[in-house]
Amino acid sequence: MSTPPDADGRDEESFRRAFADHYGAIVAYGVRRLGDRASADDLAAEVFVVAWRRFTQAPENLLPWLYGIAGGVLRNQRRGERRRMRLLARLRDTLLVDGAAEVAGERDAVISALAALRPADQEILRLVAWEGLDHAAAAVVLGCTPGAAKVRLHRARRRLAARLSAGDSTIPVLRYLPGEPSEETP
Amino acid sequence: MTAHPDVLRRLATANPAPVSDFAGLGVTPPAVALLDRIVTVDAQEQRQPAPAKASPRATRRIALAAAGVAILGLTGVTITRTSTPTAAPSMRLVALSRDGGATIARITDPSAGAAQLDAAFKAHGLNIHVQVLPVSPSLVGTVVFSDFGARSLPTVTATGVCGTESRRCPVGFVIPGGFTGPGVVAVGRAAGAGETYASSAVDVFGPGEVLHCSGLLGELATSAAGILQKMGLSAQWDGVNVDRHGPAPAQYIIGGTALSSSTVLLDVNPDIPSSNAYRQISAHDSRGCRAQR
Repeated sequence: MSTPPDADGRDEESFRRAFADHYGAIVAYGVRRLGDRASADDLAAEVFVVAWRRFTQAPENLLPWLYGIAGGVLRNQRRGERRRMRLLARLRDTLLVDGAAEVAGERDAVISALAALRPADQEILRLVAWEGLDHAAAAVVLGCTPGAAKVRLHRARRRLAARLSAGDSTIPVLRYLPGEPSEETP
Repeated sequence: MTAHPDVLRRLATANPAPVSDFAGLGVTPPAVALLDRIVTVDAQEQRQPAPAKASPRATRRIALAAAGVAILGLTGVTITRTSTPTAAPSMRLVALSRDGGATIARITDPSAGAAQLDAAFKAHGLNIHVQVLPVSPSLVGTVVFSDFGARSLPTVTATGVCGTESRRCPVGFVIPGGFTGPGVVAVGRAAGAGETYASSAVDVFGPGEVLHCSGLLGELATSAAGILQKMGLSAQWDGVNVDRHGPAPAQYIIGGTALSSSTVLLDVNPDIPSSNAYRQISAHDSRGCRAQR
């Protein structure tokens, strides 16, 4: 039995289904960008608070919309250098203890190459390779047209391939992770 | 076009947190409890807009989340206000000034109630809801969050108000001509004794925060425990393979965040980082400490 919409026209039952379906994906997104689970949990909580507030505007395909909210929340956080450093240290520990050496070597190489790209290139590559979105869904997250996303993806893939071919090992493997743009910090 | 198909596959293999590792997380008891709080808190807020009140840790995150606020990256705040949440109604609550076609809004009395601040905006034709949240000392008087829907309004920052001379902090926002809302703004107020912070400076060792000039940064946690106790602070520990609520680990304190005026969450690490970033932060944190000792 469906519940009636609340005073703002929001369907709580649908929201609960969306939460059950996508909460894990948003936490995973947070872990990938923030480097630790506690911060990812905080991020997911904030994302779903905003999502509930705006639920009447939600599109049918919810996940890209939720990723878009998550990106906005991250930009609003302005994490400081100390937290970045802590997260970097934690990720370094994780990388050191997790997985066989050859796997870590391949992963380091790929992540180092990713880190060397421009933030916009990194983001669309992560959305496709890690969040599993196609270029049309990535366009929803990035706020651009599907055509533009397709072009951006193609260029980003080409640049990543070039980086990998060059075998550039001078980029710190951890540089990519918590370095969200600090828009407000002068 | 040749799209380097193997590149994405290699990148996918390097995914540090595959979604499959988090499958089913949304139906676990903690997640369901979070969901219930999101819906409930929002409903309560709609019925009775009021300043944030003290809450136990179980609700801290949702209070923080309800404002869309995470631990912010502001450091180095030296506000000395001591006001309480019972400000005189005659105080000027919001300062609005014109700048061309735009309006610059500064919340000048964050100790006022949310309803008063809402009314102050409404009097100027603006549908902006203000939440007033307890924050760590260095964030008092600052805008810790703003949400104007699809709009992104520029922040007004100031030096010397909530930081060192080299730091700026958000104290207001620019409202473009024709924009009347809706919007939500969260402003930090001084917390009561033991009151849980809804938002906290990312650096508890930074100027204005409780452990600034404490000398504990870079110390062994086991050595610091007694000093923290003397300061009336209880500590939680955040590190790899560290029991958050356990005894002080035999690791070095490399950072931290205040959870309330009586509780700090300290980052620990087996070694003191040798990076330039850490040295710069340590130097920033110790600035001015000698004079205070």
